[in-house]
Amino acid sequence: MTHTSERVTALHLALIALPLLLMVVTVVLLVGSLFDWNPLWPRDDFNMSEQAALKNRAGILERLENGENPNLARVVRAGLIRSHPMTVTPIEVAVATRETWLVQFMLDHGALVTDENRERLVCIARDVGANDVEQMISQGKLVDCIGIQTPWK
Amino acid sequence: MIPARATSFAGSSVPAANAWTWAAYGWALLVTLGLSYFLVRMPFQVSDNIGNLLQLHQKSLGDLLYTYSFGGTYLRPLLWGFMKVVFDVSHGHYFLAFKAVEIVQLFLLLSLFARLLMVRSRVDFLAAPFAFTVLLGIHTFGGFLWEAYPINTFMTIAVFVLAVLNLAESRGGLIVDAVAPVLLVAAMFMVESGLLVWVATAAAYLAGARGVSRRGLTASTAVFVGYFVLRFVVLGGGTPGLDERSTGYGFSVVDRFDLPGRFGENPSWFYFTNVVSAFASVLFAEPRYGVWEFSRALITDAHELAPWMIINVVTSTLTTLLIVGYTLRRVPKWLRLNVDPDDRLVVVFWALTLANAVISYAYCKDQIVSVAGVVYPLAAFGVVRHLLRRSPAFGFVVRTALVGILLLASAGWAVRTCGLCYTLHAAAYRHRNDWVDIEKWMHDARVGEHDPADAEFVRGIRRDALRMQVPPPVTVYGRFGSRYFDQHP
Repeated sequence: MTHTSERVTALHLALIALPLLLMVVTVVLLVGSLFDWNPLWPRDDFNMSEQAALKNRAGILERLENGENPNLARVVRAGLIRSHPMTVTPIEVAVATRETWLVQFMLDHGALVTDENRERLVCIARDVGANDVEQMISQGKLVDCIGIQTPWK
Repeated sequence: MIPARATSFAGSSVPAANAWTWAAYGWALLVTLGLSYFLVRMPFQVSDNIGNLLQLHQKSLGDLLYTYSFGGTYLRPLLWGFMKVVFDVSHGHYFLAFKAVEIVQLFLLLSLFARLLMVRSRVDFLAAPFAFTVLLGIHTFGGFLWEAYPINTFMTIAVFVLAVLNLAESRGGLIVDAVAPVLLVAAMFMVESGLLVWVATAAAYLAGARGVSRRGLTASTAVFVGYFVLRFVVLGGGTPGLDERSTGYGFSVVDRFDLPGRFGENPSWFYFTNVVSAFASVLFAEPRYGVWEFSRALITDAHELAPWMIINVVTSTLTTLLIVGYTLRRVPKWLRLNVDPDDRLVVVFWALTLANAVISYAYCKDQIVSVAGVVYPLAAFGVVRHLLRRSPAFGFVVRTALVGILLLASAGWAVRTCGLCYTLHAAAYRHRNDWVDIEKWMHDARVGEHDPADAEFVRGIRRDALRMQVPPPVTVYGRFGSRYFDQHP
């Protein structure tokens, strides 16, 4: 015979429902990980430009140490910067993040600011309202952004 | 027939462990496996850790034991002895060894926690998962896992506290009475919060648990007093200064170098506010690290009241109100040392939380009150189990209200438990990125100046950390994570 207090009521269900759901999800994820299914820890297959968009210095460094070129333009998948894919270099993305530390990091690790790309970078900084970054890149040189289209305009 | 009320093991007829008990242990094991999934993917942290690892690399066991016995402010020889043994036994596989220690600690903590729930029936088991979500979801728990230098001593102490509470609830005997003071010695000489093991022993005894008898309590008390004599009289040790660490005060963080100027003339007030903050933090998830951020967001426009703050404070407050309501009716009895076995978890919770708050006097940090955070869910479980048992006698309105309250609380704690995954992922990401700047730290600390092997040692750990794959948390949790999950630390 079940003791009166042993009957399962709405009270019991209110307590256990969500923890039980969490446990089921936990078991599913653990079993899935045995078959290389890791939705909570997906493979980090973002390229260097995407890593810059994510401000992930360790990810950028890993790719640099694998020999990747920090000045190459790469396709950044939709959703990381804009709702459409963009082909940009890591330094351009770094400028667009408005983070001077990230821009400095890219410069310290081989990203180049040349006479060819300086204007574009300054205009990106101006488009996103990054005054500090603009000063870093321009180094006092005057840049006219009329006629320069950036993906961030 | 299974008794309606679980009672102490010591000297009374308590049902032996049954299938429901093992189901609770099974729950603990699955939780361990779930959390280990994140732990093995988390690189070593840099801050507070790389310096320790370097010491373990450079110094012998004897040197470390001497330094941390006679060295000054802290008396932690057993901590360093333990870490050195693990370091040496690992034969270069440091990550594997220290992660293994962390996982074993975690399993012990969860198993000892499950044992204290004394699950003996279906009703008990239906309430147990709630206790686990409170344990995992409380804001003091995450620090056990995301912080390790390279062992998390706060978790070690929590294990010791739960172990001694289990001893107190055991059948007792000479071995139990001998083990209790040994646990206390081990805890105290690992880290100062190990003193809470004595508080747990004494509180359990006063609450009627006699597994550790008067003999065992006396021995523990003698050891407890002896510690203070040794530390402050024989060794002439000191206590942390006012400028030990930056800490929260009011609505902001005060830099440690500003603390002497602000409170040097009357540090007692500063210490008092830290104790109050620590106590309130456990009960209400406010303040955090000494900063009253929820209140600040409510009162000022300068700070956003994020959804995660509301979830934390409402859930903790709701659960605390249940515990307080349970407590207030029984305080007169408890003050006469007339404590029912079912009340013991709640009594021990109040004693440990108060004591834990007191030892947090120097500065506020979630991790310092983590022992209180481990017994808080025990108290919540005790109260909820009591309500479940009494519920058949409640009227429809009361029962319905209770369903609503428990569902809301359960939902909140479930969200906070999910948030633990986010916290661990964010910590792993942060730790990995911190290794990017290690060369600068090495230069400033002059690592390798005397022995190039030191520099190579650090670089080796850095290489391993950077090789670990840690996708940015935003790619998994999106904006939801930063809005609905705890953003500390």
